[in-house]
Amino acid sequence: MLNHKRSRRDFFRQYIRAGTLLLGGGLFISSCTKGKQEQEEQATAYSGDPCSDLSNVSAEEIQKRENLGYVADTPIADNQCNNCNLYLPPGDKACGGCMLFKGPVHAEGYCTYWAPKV
Amino acid sequence: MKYNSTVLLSVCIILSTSCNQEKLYPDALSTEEALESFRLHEGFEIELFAAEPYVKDPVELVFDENGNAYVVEMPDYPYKPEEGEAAGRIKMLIDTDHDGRIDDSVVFADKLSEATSVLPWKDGLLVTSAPDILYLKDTDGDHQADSKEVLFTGFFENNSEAQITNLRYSVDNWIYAANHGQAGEVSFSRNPDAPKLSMRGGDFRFRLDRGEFELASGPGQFGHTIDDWGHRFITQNTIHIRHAVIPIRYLDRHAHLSTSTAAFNISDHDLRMYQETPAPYWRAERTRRRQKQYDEQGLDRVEYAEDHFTGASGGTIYTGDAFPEAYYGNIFTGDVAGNLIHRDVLTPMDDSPTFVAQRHASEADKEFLSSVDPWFRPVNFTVGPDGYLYVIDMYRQHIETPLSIPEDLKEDMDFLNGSDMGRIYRIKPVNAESKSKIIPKLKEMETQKLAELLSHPNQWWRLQAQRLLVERQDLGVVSKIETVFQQHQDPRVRLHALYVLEGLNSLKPEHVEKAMHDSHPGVREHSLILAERFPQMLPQIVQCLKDSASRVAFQASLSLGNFENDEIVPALAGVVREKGADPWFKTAVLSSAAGASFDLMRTVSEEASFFQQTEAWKLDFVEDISYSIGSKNDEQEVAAYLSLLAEKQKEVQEAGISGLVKGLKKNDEEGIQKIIENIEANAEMEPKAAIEKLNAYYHKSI
Repeated sequence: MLNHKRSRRDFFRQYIRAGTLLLGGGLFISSCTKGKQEQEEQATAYSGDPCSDLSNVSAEEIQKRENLGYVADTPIADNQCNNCNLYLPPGDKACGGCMLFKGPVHAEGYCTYWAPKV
Repeated sequence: MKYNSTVLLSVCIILSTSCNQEKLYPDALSTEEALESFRLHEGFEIELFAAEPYVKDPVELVFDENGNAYVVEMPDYPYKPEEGEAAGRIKMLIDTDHDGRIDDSVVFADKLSEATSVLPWKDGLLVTSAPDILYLKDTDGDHQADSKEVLFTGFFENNSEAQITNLRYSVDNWIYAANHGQAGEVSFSRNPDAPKLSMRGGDFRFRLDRGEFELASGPGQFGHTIDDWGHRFITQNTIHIRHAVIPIRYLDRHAHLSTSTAAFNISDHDLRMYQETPAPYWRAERTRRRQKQYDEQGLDRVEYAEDHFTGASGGTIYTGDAFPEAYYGNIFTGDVAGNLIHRDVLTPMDDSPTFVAQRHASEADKEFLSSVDPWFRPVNFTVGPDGYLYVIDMYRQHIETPLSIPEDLKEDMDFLNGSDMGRIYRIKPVNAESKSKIIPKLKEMETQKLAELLSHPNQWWRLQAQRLLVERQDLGVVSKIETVFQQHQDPRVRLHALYVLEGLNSLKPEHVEKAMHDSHPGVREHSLILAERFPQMLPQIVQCLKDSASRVAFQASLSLGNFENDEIVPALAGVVREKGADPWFKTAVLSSAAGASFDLMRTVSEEASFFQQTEAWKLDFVEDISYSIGSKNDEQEVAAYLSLLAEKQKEVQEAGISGLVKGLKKNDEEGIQKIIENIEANAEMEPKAAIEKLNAYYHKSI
């Protein structure tokens, strides 16, 4: 009986894995296309603010920051990138960065994965 | 031979991969093994209430007024389902043989996108399912929802761990939900003409009996609980317990407040938790990499892989009647990464309106419950009608947002492993009598009988009774409720009765006045909130500023700001002098138009001794009120304020100019911006000189 349950569960698990791979693949293709378009749009929109310059950031990373809900201006006054535990201060660069995605980050930005400094 | 080598190589690779995965991440335990994995506080025992196949991926459990158990399942986590592909469910769990263990279930609703919480309401269930709050009803008695109403829509929906969730009914008749402060524009289908509510920074509260909805303080993530007195506590991954000290409706009274902070980390112990499981490979490796990056950048930052709160969830106040009395009011919080349940003892502070959350002495170096099974994921809790603590265990191999894990580390991870499993446990004192046969039947109960349940020792019964009384609107019960309010010995019961009267639109000033003189501060605190509706009670509110209980005096400070009267400024000035050292009292004063005015500052200054000693808190107050005055930029007021500042000591002037400049920056008058630039560019400028520069501008203007 246990073996029976186990094999059914394994089958279910494999089924879900296969589904996830397909779904994930679909998402990946879709995100690449969308990300590329948005990268082009954002690169075009770049107007001198180095923290908005995504011309050297890959489409995948741009998509990732969007999936994480990154915005340049925080909607929550007390939670912004420069008081987030995942923020990397600029040091000698023009802009800071983030542990979760590549590319420049506004100090006053925010993403939905904001974490308090500990 | 070549064929055999290929087969051999393939088998080796498969075996190697398989062994490697087994080694990296252990497999699930049976329910019996899982029960053996727990290390529980002495004096308690844990037993299985429900498990797969009857429940899978549970994230919340509620008992409706008839004791029916409804569980929310979230099998899509951590992925956002495609449109039309959502697999979220709400099930009614059934114990057919009444042995205390679930042996059947019925799907109440399915195909729900990211449903996270439910709350019984008017023969149905309210459901958070971002971007919506739904109202689902079974109208034909087959236990399956056949009516669906989208009540609210427009909530943020792109992070299942941080969106609208955790519906809770409070003693004040409002329903609260955590929203993690996420942006959104929320509309209410039953009041389509109401302006959309901007959710930036807030949690949410609403009343369906009044058609009202608004922001609530927070922000809370996955964990949200309210005590007997309406104080809200919220959970956030790392900060496991925060108190929402100031309701946001006070902070939003004017747009010139220098702070929007409403919630406060009340833990007196650090982030340390005592887990029995090692960090999983992916977390250990990610931590190593993050730490390396911090070190390379010279950052004074430590990334912990284990033993520190990182997935705190579901903080729940124990308000039942089955645990020893000392546990009443304790907060139980899960940490899904640490595979444990932490307990905090809440103690009200004497000189501040907030609380301290402490470890109990018996848990100084261990947790209330910890497991050696890394699949144990205690995401939430509820207190049942039997008074026992129910633990909702999502039971997953991994519980983390894939986006936050480096791609190479994800190769060995199946984030859906365990989506066909889930457990709900019941924690009760050792040898406690089984109460599973107590089946509440409140739905059919006569209204007069329901009124008697307001005095039940378990809050579950009291709140169900209150909600049903408010839902029914049977005014024939008012007289009985008034008697309960006036005579009951238990202050919790008096408060329930007060709000039943409120919910029945039968609240009178005399009820509020009596509540103001109640022996319990929790009742007095609410009397002030209710007194805001009766302007004739202003003198009594002013009297309450002197209340010996800090939470009552604090509420009086907040409530006063809702009035316009000559008494307000002197009264609030008194609060500043006596209690302004506490930042919450300071914010309470500054939150009102009168409290953020030049008149307030002048009145405070009238007591000559106030600025004789310029303690830091006084300078903070000066800076904050100066910010408000600057932000408003009423020329006459700024001019008068500058004249007042000119008479003060240098430290006061410095604080005043600092706040004023910050506030003035919010307006775009070119002339004033030039003066500010000049002041900021000249770091050596004396505050007196800055005052003179501003004075020249404003006196020329007016």
